[in-house]
Amino acid sequence: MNALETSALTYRYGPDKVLDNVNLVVSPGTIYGFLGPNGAGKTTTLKLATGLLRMQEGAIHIFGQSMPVHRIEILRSIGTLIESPSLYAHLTARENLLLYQKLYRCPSARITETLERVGLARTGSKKAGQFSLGMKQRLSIAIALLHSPRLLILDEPTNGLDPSGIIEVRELLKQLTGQEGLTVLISSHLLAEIERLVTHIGIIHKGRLVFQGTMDELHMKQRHSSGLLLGTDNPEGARHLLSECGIEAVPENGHLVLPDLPSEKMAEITRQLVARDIGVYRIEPKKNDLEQIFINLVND
Amino acid sequence: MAALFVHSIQTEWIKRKRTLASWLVIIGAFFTPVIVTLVQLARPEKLPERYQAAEFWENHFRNAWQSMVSLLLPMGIILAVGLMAQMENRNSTWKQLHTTPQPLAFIYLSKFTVLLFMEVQLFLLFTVGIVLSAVVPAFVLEAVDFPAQPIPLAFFARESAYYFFFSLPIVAFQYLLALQFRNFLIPLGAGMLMMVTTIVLFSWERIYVFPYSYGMIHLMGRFPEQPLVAWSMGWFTLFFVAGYLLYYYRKDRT
Ligand SMILES: Nc1ncnc2c1ncn2[C@@H]1O[C@H](COP(=O)(O)OP(=O)(O)O)[C@@H](O)[C@H]1O
Ligand SMILES: [Mg+2]
Repeated sequence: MNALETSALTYRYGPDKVLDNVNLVVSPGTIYGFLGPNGAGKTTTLKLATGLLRMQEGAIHIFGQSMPVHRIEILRSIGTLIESPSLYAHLTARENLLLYQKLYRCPSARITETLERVGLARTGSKKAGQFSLGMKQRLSIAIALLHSPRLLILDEPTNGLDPSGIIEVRELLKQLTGQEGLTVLISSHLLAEIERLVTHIGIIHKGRLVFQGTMDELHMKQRHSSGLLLGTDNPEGARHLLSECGIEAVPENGHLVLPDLPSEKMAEITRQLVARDIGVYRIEPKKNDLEQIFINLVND
Repeated sequence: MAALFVHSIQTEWIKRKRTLASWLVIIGAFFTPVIVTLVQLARPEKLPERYQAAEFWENHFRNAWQSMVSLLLPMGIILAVGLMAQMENRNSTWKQLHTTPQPLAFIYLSKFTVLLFMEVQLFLLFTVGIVLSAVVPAFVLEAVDFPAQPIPLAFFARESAYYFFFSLPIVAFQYLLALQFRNFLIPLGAGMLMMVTTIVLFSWERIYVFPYSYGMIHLMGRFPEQPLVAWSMGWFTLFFVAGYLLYYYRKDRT
């Protein structure tokens, strides 16, 4: 049974199709990164999953239960943080949590536990409105964690924070994602932000899921889509020779990028380059960093 | 489920802590009594005679309720209801509230219940204020004796109950508007328009069709209570149910 699963999820705002046949699969116990540029449809997907938007087409199942039908049971087992923090500015951290402790009917000891967990146990009578952005976001995460949910849904938890807030929240997330048995679905528009946090990844662009798999699978894609990087002291001459051999080389940052070649072919080319007095100082597989893959996927 | 509903009401009651709306209740309850007290202290000439009248308390009560029914109560309802919705809008907490595991009906009902609690609180404090505003001059001024008539609590309770029921259409309509429109000015403006319309149309012989008019009609004693109660309950039911349906069928609950 999957923690969360969407089938053929499609959503329109008026005539604009903002989600197009999205099939998300989040297995239990995984940390799933939901990645996509701004406006891709991440928040819309998560709002549908949490019942904040009315379903139009497709289906959503969370721990096997269908979303609009078993809304209340599902909400009991998930913790949410959608977009900006949701805090009562005139109440203290403890009072904010007290509201949810009553609604989720969990032991009141959870309030102190959770405040300690997010490092807000000593904010006393300070009102949430006076908190720094990082503290507000940590309190929002505390609200999501309070009732010990099985699935945590976090929508861009570091978005809009100042650098110190980003660090605070990132530390907290690192600690959370190590927790046994908790499934986390976390969205972001920055791969670097979640890259080291997640085990699985789904990439959405213009409402379509363009990649879904493990981080390893994404790294595989990185190797496939790469090529060879050739460093010579005469790029023009080298390029000329290569084109004689029927190989297209593209200059990039003073180097040449070649398609992947079999080893014997590469050895042959090196011999020829040296024979023509072109110095070769570097041959290496081109590293496509993940950000580049992301951009490639999104541009296809 | 019943326990959850009680918890839901409790959370709404906690949320109004330290808010402007909770102060409105205190200010609204004691504003008129303070004015009445000051006026009496400033012009004590006729007090000794008036305090010994057979219907002293009834007259004093009606006198105090005049400004309450025509202005302070509807205005207070408009502000308190608007502020309650505004608290969720401004803090963007609707999305969090709507992902708590409770039926939407509980959220709708518990907010409304807390509004009514606040109104009951206002009425109780106002009654205390009314009594004090009669007792204080008698205490301060030597020439004025305490009222001869005992406090007619049954009369106070019955009249307060009428004003309470006659205000329900206002509470329900303002609630409908405040939940529908994110802009605080829309329910505020609409509410004021309704108040002004009531005053403008007040001399019309069929003013009782108008949902904001019942408190004032009762104050003036222009129509018998029975049809007024029916009209008032009719409007209340309509607004309350329509408000719920509009709330329930919202496409976006954020
Ligand atoms: N309330 C709305 N009305 C109309 N269009 C909307 C609304 N909310 C979002 N959109 C549009 O839907 C698309 C997806 O938005 P969103 O899900 O918020 O993206 P993301 O969270 O990935 O940045 C965007 O093009 C956005 O402009
Ligand atoms: Mg978003």
